[in-house]
Amino acid sequence: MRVPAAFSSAVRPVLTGPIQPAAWLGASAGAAYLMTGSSTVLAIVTHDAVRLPCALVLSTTAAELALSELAPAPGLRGDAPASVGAGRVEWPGRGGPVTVAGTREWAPARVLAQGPPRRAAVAALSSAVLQCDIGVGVGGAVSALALAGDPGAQFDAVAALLGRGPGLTPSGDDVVTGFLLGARAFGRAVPGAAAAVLELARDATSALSAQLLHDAVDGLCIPEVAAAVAELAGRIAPAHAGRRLLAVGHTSGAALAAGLVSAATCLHRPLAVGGAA
Amino acid sequence: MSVEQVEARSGAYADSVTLMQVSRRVLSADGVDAALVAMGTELNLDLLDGMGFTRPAAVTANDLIIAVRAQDDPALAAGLALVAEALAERPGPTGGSFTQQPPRTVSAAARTTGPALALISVPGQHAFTEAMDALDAGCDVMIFSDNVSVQQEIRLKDVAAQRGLLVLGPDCGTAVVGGVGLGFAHTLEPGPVGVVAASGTGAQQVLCLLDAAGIGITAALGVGGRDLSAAVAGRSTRAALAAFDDDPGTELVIVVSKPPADEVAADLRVHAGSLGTAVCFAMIGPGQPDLTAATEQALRALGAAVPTWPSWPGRQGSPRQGALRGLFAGGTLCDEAMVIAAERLGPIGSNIPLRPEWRIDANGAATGHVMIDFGDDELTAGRPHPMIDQTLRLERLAAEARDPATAVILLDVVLGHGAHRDPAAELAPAIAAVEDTTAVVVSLIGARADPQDLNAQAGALQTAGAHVFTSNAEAARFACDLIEVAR
Amino acid sequence: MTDLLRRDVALITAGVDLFADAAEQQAARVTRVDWLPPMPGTQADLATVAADPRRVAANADAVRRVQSVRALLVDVVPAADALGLGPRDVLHAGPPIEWARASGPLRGALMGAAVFEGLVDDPDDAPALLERGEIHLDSCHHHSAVGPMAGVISPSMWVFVLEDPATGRRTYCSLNEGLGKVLRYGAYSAEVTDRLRWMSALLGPVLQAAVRGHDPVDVTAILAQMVQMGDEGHNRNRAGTLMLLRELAPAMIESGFSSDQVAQAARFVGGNDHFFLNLGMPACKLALDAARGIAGSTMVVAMARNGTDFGIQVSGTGDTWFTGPALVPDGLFLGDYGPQDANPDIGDSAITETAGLGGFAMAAAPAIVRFVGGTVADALANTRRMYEITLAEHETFAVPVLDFRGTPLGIDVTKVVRTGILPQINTGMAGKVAGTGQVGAGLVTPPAEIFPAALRALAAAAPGPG
Repeated sequence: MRVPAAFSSAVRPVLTGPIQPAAWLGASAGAAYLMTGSSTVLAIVTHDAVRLPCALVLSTTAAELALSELAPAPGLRGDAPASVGAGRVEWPGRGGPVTVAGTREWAPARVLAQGPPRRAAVAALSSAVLQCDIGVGVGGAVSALALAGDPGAQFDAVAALLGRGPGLTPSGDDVVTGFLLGARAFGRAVPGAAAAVLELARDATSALSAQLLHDAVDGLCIPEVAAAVAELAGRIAPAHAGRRLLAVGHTSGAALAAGLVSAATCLHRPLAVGGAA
Repeated sequence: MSVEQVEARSGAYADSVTLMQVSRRVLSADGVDAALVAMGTELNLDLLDGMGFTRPAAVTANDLIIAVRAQDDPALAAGLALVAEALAERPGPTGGSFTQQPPRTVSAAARTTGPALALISVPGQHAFTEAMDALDAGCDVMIFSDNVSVQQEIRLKDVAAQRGLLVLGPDCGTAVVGGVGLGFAHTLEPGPVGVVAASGTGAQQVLCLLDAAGIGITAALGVGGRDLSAAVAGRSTRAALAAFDDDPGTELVIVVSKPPADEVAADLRVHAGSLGTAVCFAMIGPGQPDLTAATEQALRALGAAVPTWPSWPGRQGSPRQGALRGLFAGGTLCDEAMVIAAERLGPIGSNIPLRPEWRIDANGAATGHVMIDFGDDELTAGRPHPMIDQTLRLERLAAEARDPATAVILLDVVLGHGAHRDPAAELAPAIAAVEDTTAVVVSLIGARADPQDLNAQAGALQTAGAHVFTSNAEAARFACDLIEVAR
Repeated sequence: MTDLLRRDVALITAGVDLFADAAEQQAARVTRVDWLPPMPGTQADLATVAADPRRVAANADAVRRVQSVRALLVDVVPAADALGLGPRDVLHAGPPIEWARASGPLRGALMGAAVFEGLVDDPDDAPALLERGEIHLDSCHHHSAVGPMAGVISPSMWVFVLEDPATGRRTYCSLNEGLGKVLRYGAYSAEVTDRLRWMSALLGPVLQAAVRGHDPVDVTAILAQMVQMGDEGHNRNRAGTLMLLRELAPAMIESGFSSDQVAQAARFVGGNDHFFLNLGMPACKLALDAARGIAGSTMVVAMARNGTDFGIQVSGTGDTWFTGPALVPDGLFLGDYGPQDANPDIGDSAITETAGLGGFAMAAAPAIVRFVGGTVADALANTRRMYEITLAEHETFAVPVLDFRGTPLGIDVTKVVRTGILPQINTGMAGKVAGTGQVGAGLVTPPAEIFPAALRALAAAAPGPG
């Protein structure tokens, strides 16, 4: 079975590079995750799933073609590694070989520096976040992140959050991801946070989450975050981008939003290091 | 002699529709003359009387009446058995399947998709209605169909402007949106350039040169070959420019066109100066930069390096003295080559001539320098476009090769989505068969990631003896050089 | 400005499959339209009407006006008073028709009405009067009225009076007689006229007292509820009838009539599953009449049949009827009646389909589709198909099984012509011989040719091509 997919520019080097084996990290109806030997994580997602910056996007929905069915049976994934390279991802599927062919490239959403956020918008998102469950026991750590004024404190606050919470993308990581992206957008230098991610994430959390954190250091994100950031910064007219972010995943959207709010709310405090992140 | 049975069953409710179906089924059995299976309502009892049955005693509306009259006892028994069978029947496993039928109009489709880009390729006389329906539904429209009148084109573009939508086309062969190549288009990387094209193959040339330079695009929007005419006055070009100007990812826009109306081009240049995004123009015509030069100008404006455009040298040796014969699939590529050649060689006969007095019959034998556009309507009536079906061009290639007056044959080969799967496989033998006294020059329009494999196509054409260029302008100049050297 | 560059690429393709295939190969999300050429000879008119700059706003206005109407039952009175009918004025269903062309069931109903009004003693004497034009016929629709099947309304019959409180506009409809041998199906025996006399003598007055002693009954609200209770408002009105009775029963009891009289009336209403039809129909007419006469609108505002002709009226073409021969419904027959016994389609009841009920709401009443041996899936497909030819989805009538999607509302002449999909009508069938009564029920469509004719008139009324 050959399935065309649109691939993110972020995965082009790995996807179009030499063929290498990739291990299964997991698969649901809407997304399948693979990690290559070079520790790059690729996501294959359905058309209706969240567009991760490391994703190959299919034209079908989860209801039309469930990736959990396309992937090898869970018990067999260890013995059925995939291969990635030469423009495609291949594996022995349940009904014969599966080829996901990268036939088109798309540019993942990227957060650019866009100046300070509008207070009213931040307040609105902040109060909306308070209504949401952002995952177990990260509230205090989020406050610490918001209040961290120097690189050391940022490093410690991020270290305390990495890997906190259940699942493939723990809530603590989502908060850090949102924080990094918000800081970049609003012109807040967070060298300690970025250093903590680069130094600790690979060991502190799941491979997928670590990939998303590294992408966030580079400014890459899901489109919902980019839209929410633009809305906070007043770059686009308010159009419920914040609400759409909160709707992402079970707790991911709210945790990402909490991170954005953390990055936005402490801007009035003197920054330890000048310049944009 | 007929027999009958009338029976009332209590507590056997079924709805009237089911029972009417049961009645009909029993009636259809051989030997059954009359049947009524119904609840004992007053209406049904009247019907029973009317059919000549005797009412059972003390029937209520909650009783099920089964009345069957048949020609003989076996038929009656069969009829009653059928009643029992029909009443016991339950829907099969296929019942309740809720498959959706495909939508029949664009507006119906848009009710489920939301705003989308509608691609209209219905026969031309229906295209206006379908396109208007798409605009009504809030969709941008790309019209591949031709035979849309200028009045209709203007009306569509005015309505689109009122609704904040974009009309691509009509007769639009090329667009790339969200990285998807639509119509005749290429596989390209995302990047900083937006392309607005009132020319299909002209846009393909620019896009492929950008690709060769390693520069990707945000989108390429074909606005239809007439958009820069005096009548249409750049309506869609302006709308496309506005969309690119608003797009943070677009750093520079290139407007590609076959020869435009002078006043429209002038207005457009003034308009472009008012935008926040830089605009380069690649408009074919005497005194204008050719497509390659315009692309190089755009690259420099972006601060990108201008590469040496890939080319593959062909058979060595000089052709005889004689004429240049251009056989093109792309109208704008033909235009560009004619503008270059006319400056160097003088009049170029053509079916799409630069000057009216240079017009020739495309099907007649050529005299002097000639360039034919095989994609012109006159030559595509009733057959696929030459980018898909090369038959006519291959025949003409062989004929020109036999003509002792032919010194150089200039061809374009366009790759990408929608085009022939392997054009070189058909062209290479024909090129190889051309005598050494005649040179073959090919401009090969393709992107690195096109499905036909640019390098493989170039290699096959080169092996057959052709000089292959990725710049159409360079190919035309090289062809002129060969003609001049032979003189 | 277009947001084409800002949103995820999504494509809709109409025409050559090549383009859809190529886009799918590039992992684009493609929705394919199953495009077919329009009805023959219509392409120029379609283009002219498509180019009419008034069309989109006119249709939006038409739909908005229909949806903003609330139909309240405010009174029950004799037709002579409500409609200003003289002693020899009789209204009928469908487009106007003269006696000579009238079908069997319409003739039977007119003969019965002549007896009922005392114009003749023997129904067989009525045709002579009707032939000589001594009884004046006109279309119900010309008098803000509708009538099911033959739709005959004579001065002594009682009618429901429905009113839109916002505008004070009113529509009218006769009281439903029940099933079987009844006037509206063309029966005219003594049993039929006796029942009509009882209805005028007792049922009308009881209902009048009840309605006058009660707040106006919100018929639109009952329609909305019954669609969620398995009724489609044309061939199935069971829940609507029960809800009406529930509303009116206390006021009937308090009306001052004897308990025996109230019981007779209540038994008659409760024993007739179609009683509510004669309230749903004028409610639909009240809504659709609000959208009449909007220049440029291509929306159908009436579909009606007189047993010979099927006619439509369109908002943008005023009161013109576009007519063609009525078709014979396809369906199930009572007793041993068969297709040979059925009269062509008859009645004003297709006003329900015109307003988004009946066949258009079939998904809400899956039982109905089995009149033609269909399945529940067919019922869903039927309603879904009607979305193809309509302008909007009803804000009030929602179909539970379609996730409470509104029923298809506002038949667009251009969409009918473009797709060739004809409005699906659920209907009863009358015997073609006068006096027979009902012979069955089934599904029917208008004759196709009336839609290109209406389109032609819309094109003629459009300002010239852009």
